[in-house]
Amino acid sequence: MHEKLDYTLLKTRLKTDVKVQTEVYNECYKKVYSSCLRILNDVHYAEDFMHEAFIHAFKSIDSYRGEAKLSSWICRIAINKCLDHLKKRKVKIIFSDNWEAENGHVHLFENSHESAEADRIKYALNQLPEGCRLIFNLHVLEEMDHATIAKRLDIKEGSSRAQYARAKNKIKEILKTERHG
Amino acid sequence: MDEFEKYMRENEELFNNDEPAEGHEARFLHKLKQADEKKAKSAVDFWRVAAAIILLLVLAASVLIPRFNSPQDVQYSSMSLSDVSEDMANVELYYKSKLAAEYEKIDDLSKTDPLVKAYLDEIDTLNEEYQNLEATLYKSGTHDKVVLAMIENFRLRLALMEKLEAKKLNKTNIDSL
Repeated sequence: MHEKLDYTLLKTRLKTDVKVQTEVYNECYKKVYSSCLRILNDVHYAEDFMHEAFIHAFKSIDSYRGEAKLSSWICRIAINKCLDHLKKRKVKIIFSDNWEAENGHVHLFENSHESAEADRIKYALNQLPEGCRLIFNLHVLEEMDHATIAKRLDIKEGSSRAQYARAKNKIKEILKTERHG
Repeated sequence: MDEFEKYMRENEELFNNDEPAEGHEARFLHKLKQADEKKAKSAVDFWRVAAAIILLLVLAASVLIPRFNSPQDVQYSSMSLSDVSEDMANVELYYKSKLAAEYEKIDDLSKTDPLVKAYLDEIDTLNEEYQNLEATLYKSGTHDKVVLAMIENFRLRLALMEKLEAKKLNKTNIDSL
């Protein structure tokens, strides 16, 4: 609904109109919450940061240029807040490097319902150690490049790439085991 | 981008469907209300502080500005005779040129001579009074009494200068005897 609203009118109403704010919230909360949860891996923190991101977005709606979808813009605010939280709280992100690389080619999506496949990938993602799961999520689902990830997490760009590759192989390994098991 | 990334990005909505705990919307609206109240309160506080600062500045200015008003400041808020009318401009020009000529004539007098010093002090006092009269003229508008007082001031200064010059001539004559 909100994407169809006149851009300027939407911005004006988003500042003060609780009804429009609620509509935007209901339309975008899942995407924002999922992003927060993927980064923080804690339902309470994820909800808090999701709420903070919406309030921040409504308050600073003047800086929204309309170049991205409103939901993506709010999501970006939420991601930044979550990453700042990790940095501020000095949350130790453990990056694993002792996995065996999986070289076998896995056809993930053959003859399977996409929703079920997505659930399996999510299950596999949850099996990953924190560090590489975070990097994988930031790169694939939040579409951050490795240079940005490295900067935000205070690691080397090469580490980000390596962790991502390991995460991908590990997911494939988990999925293969699950399918054959 | 490999098959894996492509699949996840193309089916983004399947990975963005997590549901927060029940009551999340009510909790959000509560936080939103609190944030609005805080914003409104800080806006009120801002204007209160701003009003207090403005009041303090006005009070400080009203107390301090008169104290720092130097004669130089007065010059900027004064009017000369030439601002009154063309005739008065001629009067002012006449006296100023006469006074300048007299100053030149007495320039070589010893400023430490008590008699000369007394004359010069009197002329300085009249100068200061003249500046005050210019300020008064600016404040009161072209008031006849002020204009007359200014002319009288010029006349007195010129008379003193002429007397001083006469004493100089007298002294020169005595010295030459």
